[in-house]
Amino acid sequence: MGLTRLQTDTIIGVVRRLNAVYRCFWESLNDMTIAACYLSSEGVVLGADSTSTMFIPGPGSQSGAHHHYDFAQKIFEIGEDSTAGVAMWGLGSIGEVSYRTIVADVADSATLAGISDIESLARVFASLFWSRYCTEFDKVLPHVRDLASKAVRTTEEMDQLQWYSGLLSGGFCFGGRWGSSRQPCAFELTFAPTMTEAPTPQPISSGSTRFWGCPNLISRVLYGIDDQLFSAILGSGKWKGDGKDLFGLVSESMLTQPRDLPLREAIDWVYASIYTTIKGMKFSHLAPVCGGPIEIAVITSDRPFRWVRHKQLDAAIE
Amino acid sequence: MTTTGLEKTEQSRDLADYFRAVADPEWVRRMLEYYSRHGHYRPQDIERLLGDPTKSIEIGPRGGLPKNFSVS
Repeated sequence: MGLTRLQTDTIIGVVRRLNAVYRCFWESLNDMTIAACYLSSEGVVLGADSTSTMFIPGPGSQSGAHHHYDFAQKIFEIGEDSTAGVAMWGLGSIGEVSYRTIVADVADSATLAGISDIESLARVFASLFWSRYCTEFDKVLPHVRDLASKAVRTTEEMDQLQWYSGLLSGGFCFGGRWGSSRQPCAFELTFAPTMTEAPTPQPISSGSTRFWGCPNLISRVLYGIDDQLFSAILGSGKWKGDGKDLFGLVSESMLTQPRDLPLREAIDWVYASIYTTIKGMKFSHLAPVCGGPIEIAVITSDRPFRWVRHKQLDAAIE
Repeated sequence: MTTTGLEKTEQSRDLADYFRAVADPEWVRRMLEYYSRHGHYRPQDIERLLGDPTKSIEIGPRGGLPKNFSVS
């Protein structure tokens, strides 16, 4: 039996009102980042900015403002005196449970379970995180997945899907070594509200750097283009060649990276790329969603987790 | 052929006049309209400029580019 027009309008109205309420709440969780990981034969370098963007709601549903707090922590040591760390980006927290607490819980669980490698550690994290994520956002995840499954979407639905995807997405990069192995390695875990099961750790190849959060700026600096612009040109109907032709053109102007940087140069590379993104944002028309002190941590094959740059607990006190 | 300082100034003025005369493209108009209404940019505008929050970009010694860019 179909719904009457009145029933349909009523449901749409309720969904819209709910969305407005959730929007206000969820915007307080938003957290744009530039995070990076470089894996070399010597070790893993993790880097991130410190800005946390939060919407502070005022009295009533239409008031409030975005604030950019510059002293958030986005890199954590996993446990104490350990040989692993994690960098994070995207969604800033899961309800009232902080990532700091989840990381500590994972460290405890990994020790109890006798985990012997970083990939297994990332799997423990994925399981714990996904369970909390699905519980916290249980009211909206079905709606987002429903939007994602539609073959044809209205403009409003497209906006909603993109908004939810941006707000409730993010990820973690686990780096270092765990157990008896001396081999440094790194794995990425990315989550989004359109996913239906816990994310699987994806390995990062040695000699490569990965960027997350706001990665387009560094892509443009090194390649002269980002992937979305690349796809937009291909899909514009104005490009006469194919993707390989366009890639051929782009590759003539790209800057190639060295394969295996010495550790201190790798630290400089990660720092410089985050710094470049922060300044790119600062001197643009966009809000400064990346900024604050740049934090860098390393885990080498011969030493445990070490901070290269780490703000003190009193850093926000002026 | 060299360009004199006066010619450069005239060229700059012509260019400025040209940009003043051309209306903003539709996507700029939509982006600014949304911003003035909501106080922040549309998700798709942010994503276009900053990147997809669900994807990483890998930069490596060689072969990194095809992974990021949809060549085929």
